[in-house]
Amino acid sequence: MRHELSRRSLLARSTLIGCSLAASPLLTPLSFAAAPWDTRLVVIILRGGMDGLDVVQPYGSPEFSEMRGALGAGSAKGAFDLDGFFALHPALAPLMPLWRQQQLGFVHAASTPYRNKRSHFDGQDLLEAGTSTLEGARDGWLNRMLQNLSGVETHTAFAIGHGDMQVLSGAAQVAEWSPDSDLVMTPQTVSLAELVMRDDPEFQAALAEALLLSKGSDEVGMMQNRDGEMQMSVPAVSRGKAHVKVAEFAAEQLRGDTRVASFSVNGWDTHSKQGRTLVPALNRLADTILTLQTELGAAVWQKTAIVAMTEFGRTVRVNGTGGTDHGTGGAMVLAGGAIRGGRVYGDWPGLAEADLFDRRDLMPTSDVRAAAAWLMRGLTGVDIAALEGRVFPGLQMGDDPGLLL
Amino acid sequence: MRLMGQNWQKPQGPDGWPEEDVAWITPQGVSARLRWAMSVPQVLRPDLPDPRQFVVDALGAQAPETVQFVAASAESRADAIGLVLASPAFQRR
Repeated sequence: MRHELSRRSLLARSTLIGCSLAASPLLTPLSFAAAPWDTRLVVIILRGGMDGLDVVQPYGSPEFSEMRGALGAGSAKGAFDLDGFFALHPALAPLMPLWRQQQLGFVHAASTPYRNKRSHFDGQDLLEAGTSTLEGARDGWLNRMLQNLSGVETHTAFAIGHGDMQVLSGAAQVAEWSPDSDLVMTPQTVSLAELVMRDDPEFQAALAEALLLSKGSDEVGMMQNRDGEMQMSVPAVSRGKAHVKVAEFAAEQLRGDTRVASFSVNGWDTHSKQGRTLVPALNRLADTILTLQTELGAAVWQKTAIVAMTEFGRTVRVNGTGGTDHGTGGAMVLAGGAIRGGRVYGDWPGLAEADLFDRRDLMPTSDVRAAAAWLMRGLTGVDIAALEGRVFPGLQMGDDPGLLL
Repeated sequence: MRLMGQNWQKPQGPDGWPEEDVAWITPQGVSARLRWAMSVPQVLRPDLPDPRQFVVDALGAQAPETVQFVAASAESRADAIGLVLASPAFQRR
């Protein structure tokens, strides 16, 4: 439920804030009662299906390099050894200091209950609804967590982005904000745009030229001109920095009374040339986490847990175009001063053909909802009965994996 | 609107906006339409429809196969809706 400012409260605040109100994009309130817990939770939805096997590479597995070809080179291709078995994708090099400080960790071979349908929309719906099937509940699990806590005020939780955060939608009050510019088209969206224009020579030529004009990056940068119109930035000006603005804004709120923030980092649908097309998304993820760390400041960072999760993993084998297709088991990314990092959580299922899901995907050995539930339990004290009964109906949380310090 | 080829309330002459392909299917025009289509609908209507249904509602059951494929396989709802709206099949209707 979006918080509606009434005319009366607006007038009352205007008297106090005066002229500065007009310049404030947010109608920033004077004060809010702080929620009764003091930790911070950031939930990042990675839309498109992140390839957990490329991000956290099981290079110690004998089948890995054979099944992954050039993608699976592990430390030979510049990936960073994590623990002798897993290696981190080279594009996440900026996060290695966090790993060494044990403020970065992963849960491998985790998935939602989504199986075999391989649709992004349904997969994201299930991830955000936190239910076992797509029947029923249309609100999101983060919102239901808020519904089960007391002392939740409007700015306790922030959904950031363009109204697409189903994970935070529902009956509990949530504030919303979105950055005003610098949208990016991800590599997969560019190739789909080319496909849809292909049958119409005029459109195809116009798009091809527009893409040529914005050449020089793997992503098409967009900017807003003075008239408020969207246009391709030619050449790309400050392209792709919307995610930094999002992280800065989230940190600003979390330094204050906000306890929960959620937003998306997109661009993980790497069906072709994954060696190249995965890099921009990884750069954005690294930028986002490091921006949060810097902007939160040491004190708030120490009580912050960031969890990034995706709708599904990707196929173990590389396809004919150097990419991977929609799969099942994937990886979750954990970061923050509150995280017990420096380790890869999860039971490793193995990559031998018999160990795979449907002989093609990484076998999920845990439910992403269980990890999320234990994080919420540790951070906010919400009780297990509420988590298993209402936040994630029907979930068995199992033993505490100890993700938090 | 100017970028898309039809300056708001300011046609270039008394015969209205030019409708020839060359007047509006330009690199700037196509990219502006694509960006608008991918960013504005979710602001106006945060609960975007399912793109797989939207393509049928917008273009009928005979929607071109490529548009139906793209609607079903984009990374996010917003991208999928935008690609349907920016498709030649929708733009030329």
